Amino acid sequence: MAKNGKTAAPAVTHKAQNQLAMVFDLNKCIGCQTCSVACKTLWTRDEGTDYQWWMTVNTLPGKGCPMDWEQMGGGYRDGVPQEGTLPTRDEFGGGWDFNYDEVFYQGKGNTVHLQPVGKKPTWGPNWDEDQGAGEYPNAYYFYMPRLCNHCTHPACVEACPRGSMYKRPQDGIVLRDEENCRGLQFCAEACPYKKIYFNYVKKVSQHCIMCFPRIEQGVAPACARQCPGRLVFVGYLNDAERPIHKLVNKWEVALPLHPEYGTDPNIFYIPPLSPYRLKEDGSLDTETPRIPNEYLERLFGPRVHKALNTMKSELAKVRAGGKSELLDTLIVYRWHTLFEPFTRDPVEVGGPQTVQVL
Amino acid sequence: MKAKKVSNVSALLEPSAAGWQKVDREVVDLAGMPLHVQTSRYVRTVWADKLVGKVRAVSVRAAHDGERLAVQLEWNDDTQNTEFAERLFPDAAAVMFPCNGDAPIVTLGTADAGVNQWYWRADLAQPENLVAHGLSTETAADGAALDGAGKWSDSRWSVVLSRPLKAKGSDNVKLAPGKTVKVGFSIWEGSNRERGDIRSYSRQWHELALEA
Repeated sequence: MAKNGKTAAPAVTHKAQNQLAMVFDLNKCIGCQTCSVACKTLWTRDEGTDYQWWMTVNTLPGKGCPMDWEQMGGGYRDGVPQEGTLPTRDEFGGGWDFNYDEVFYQGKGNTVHLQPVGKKPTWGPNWDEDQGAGEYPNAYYFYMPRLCNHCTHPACVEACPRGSMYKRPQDGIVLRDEENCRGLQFCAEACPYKKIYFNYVKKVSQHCIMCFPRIEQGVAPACARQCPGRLVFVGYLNDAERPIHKLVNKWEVALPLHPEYGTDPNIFYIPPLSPYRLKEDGSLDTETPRIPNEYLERLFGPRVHKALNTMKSELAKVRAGGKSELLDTLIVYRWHTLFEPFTRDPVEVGGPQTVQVL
Repeated sequence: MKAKKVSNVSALLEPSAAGWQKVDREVVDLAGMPLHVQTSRYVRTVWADKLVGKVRAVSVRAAHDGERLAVQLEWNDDTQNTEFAERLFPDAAAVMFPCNGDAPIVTLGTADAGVNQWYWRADLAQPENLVAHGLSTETAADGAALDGAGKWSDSRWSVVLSRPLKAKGSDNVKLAPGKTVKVGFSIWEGSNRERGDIRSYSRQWHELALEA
């Protein structure tokens, strides 16, 4: 121990006693960005956070945010840390300034339209919205909400030479001691999901905190709670009676994004089913899904085939008049089941809370 | 090396002050901070095939007036990095002192023996007075505000760091006319993405004698 009471680069604790997890049902996501805005308005309004979107929703196939992040390295291969690239502010593409003053306060509301000022943006969160891939009539796309994966083997935590990051034992949320962070950004290099941002004003790195002050009050994270599609499940991974455990471990239909990155994410996705392709004569090609399975395998690994098959057979069962616990779970008849035990209304909790950071 | 006794050190706080020409300089060889001592496996792995410590020599001058010690560092640098930019880091330099004599420089001290670092970085308005008890453990040192300034011209940085001789707190090296203290140096080349313990450093402590 250093004499100031801080540990000198402690050994990384990977395993939390409990692990919070989220499941996003991509079949329900309409790309409305309510989650992105819920997060933005709650956490990243300060100076230096203008370009930070801890929650982003991108059209896939697409280059994502930051642009081409899947080519930026990081994570592990065979347990060995892989070199990562630091994403730039332009690659994240956020933080535009707008001519609000001119439009709203200078009497030019009928002559000038709202637009970014300064350097012309060339990229942004969800810049390639709804472009997708494929040719008419078999074009396809879907939406991919992304946030920090609060990994079981967080490359960011291990990369920090100062031990400024840690995984909370009580719920596995990955956090940073900003007081101890000196902006070295090895975390942002090492994160293979490129979900760590540099605050150019405070000169520290920052990322999604899984709304831990809300979690501590029994309130679901803002992105999940605000989702109009009710597609985001929140809960403990080992809570055998609740949806997260069943979707991830029992039915194995919820999968991590890019499992080959080696960090064991705790954000999971129900992969998108897609309509059949149309043949040239306009008839259905019932053998081929419109979203190529190979593409989904690239995103979610080989387990995606089993997941899709499970979903399809459960759908067939219900169409034939049967019951499916899996589909009932995904339908979410009662919205509380998405978040249990984090179902408290944020309004009940009230104003700013004094939160004890571990 | 010697800290020359001058009548008024405040005339030397500008890096390009003409008065520095009258002070002898010593060139100190620097080396890359070894990778095996680095605390991050990511850093050890990823930097294994990279150049650590691009700057390999620093020119040092020192002067005091009985009240304040000023140290001038000069080194060659083709690229002036003054801020956190896209995949680049600000240039930086440090004058280092063992807090109580025996701290090893290669590990920046130990849990029991700290290393005081006068840390200048091109993007900071004020230098930071830091103390380390091992690599990557820098925190603010007790008391003692530093003064400092840097100037880049003709592909060369010139940086002056200074502190009153008298300073409270066990983190701050005791300085007095006639006293000799151990001193070391670090340079960070921002264009080489050097930060933290990816830096060049003087491999041994040198002696700095303050003229009586």
